[in-house]
Amino acid sequence: MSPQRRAITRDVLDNALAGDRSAVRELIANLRPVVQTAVVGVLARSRGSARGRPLAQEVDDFVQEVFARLFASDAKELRRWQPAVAPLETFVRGIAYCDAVSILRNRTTSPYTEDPIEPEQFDPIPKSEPTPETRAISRDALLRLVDAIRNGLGPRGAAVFELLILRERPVEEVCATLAMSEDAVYAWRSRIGKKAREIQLELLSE
Amino acid sequence: MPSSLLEQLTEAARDDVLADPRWEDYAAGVLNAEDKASLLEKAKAAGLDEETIEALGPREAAFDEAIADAALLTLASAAESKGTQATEAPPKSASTEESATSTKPIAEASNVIALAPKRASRVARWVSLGGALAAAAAVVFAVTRPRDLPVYTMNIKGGIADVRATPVDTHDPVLVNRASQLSITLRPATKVDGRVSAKVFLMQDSTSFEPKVSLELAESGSIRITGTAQDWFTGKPAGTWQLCAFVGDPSKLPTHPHERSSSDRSSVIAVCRDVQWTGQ
Repeated sequence: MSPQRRAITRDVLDNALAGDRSAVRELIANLRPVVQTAVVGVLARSRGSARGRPLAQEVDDFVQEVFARLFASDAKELRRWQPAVAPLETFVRGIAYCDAVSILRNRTTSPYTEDPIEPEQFDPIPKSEPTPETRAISRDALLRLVDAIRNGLGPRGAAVFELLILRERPVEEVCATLAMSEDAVYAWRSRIGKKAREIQLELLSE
Repeated sequence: MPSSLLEQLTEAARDDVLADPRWEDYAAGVLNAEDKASLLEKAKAAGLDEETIEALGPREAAFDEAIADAALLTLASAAESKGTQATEAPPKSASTEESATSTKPIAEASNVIALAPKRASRVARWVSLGGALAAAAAVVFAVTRPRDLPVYTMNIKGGIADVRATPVDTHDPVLVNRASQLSITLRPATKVDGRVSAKVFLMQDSTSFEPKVSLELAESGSIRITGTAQDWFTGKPAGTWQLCAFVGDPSKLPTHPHERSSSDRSSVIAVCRDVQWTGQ
């Protein structure tokens, strides 16, 4: 972070949530670039996200929607921040990634697919197939795979995938961001690995 | 070499030029010249297109202001629905407990709603012309805001609950009966440049109509809409109606609530709230 941008402290957040205007402005000025960059990171690499609109306009809409979620229900999400686990910027970045994926999924898929996919609903991996990871995959294919995995997982799985796999966030931080236990995160990691291989096989067979 | 598929995915994401942490300073407009040149060169080498770089760029201060305004209103609305008033924060050295005892309400602290009635404004659900008007998204503030219009908030007075002074949740429909004299205030977060007007539609399922209203326009861009529930709803079925006010360039306002065009996106927004007509 450059010297011009100061990390948000617990006091600033508390003051902002108590309705102090200057604290809210400081909070937004600090977090908007964080949210914006996270949104671009998700949107720019997703097919068909902009629906023919300028990407910047789409990003602005997503940014507002992420903030709407952060402040909804008396800012319940922001109040979950634990300074001991990660800076607020990191916490919000994680939420922004997950929200952007969630918003994108809602826009590009049937609303009914928002229901979480339980692990038992995953089809078993055909063991006789060659191991997919042994095959060389192009970067484009990987990005296509990322898109398919995001859409193939439920919202919780997609959030874990985004933070744990794509953003390499520590498990403790993922737990704090998503309000999940460590066991649940590790279980999701395993499911995501299986789902990823399954989706890759599907893509390879196309 | 990464061995597993997930590791390959991690590596691909790590190598993504968009993962460079300097983009946040770039978006904040505070990246120094040297880093900016280096970052843009890296982006170019990675094949990042101009549109994406623009999307990563700094925003006008008004954009952050609008978000801050909406956040303040959302917090005020939450405080109101809890039956308490949000308070002006104490100095940073003060404790959280002390902040709860401060008495200045947010409605007075924020110049966004300085024109508001004594009660803090309720924040209406906002939808875009591009979004489904019937969408039930419980998003509290602007989902889409055209670039040349600020965020607008909607405050409805005259419902039955207002008369009873019963605390009402932000998302609850405004309950109206035949005797209700409704006053709807649409207030911009910042002063509007240029002339704006508004049109109101009421919608239920596939039915919609434009009720008879009186409009008052203020130079700031605030709009007051008044009318009576009797005029609006007589002969209409009881139940929940969605009241949508379209605000923007008078020449671009729709003649039908579902009318939309790409040109409207930049000049008209819709602010909606549910109204519960008792039928009596």
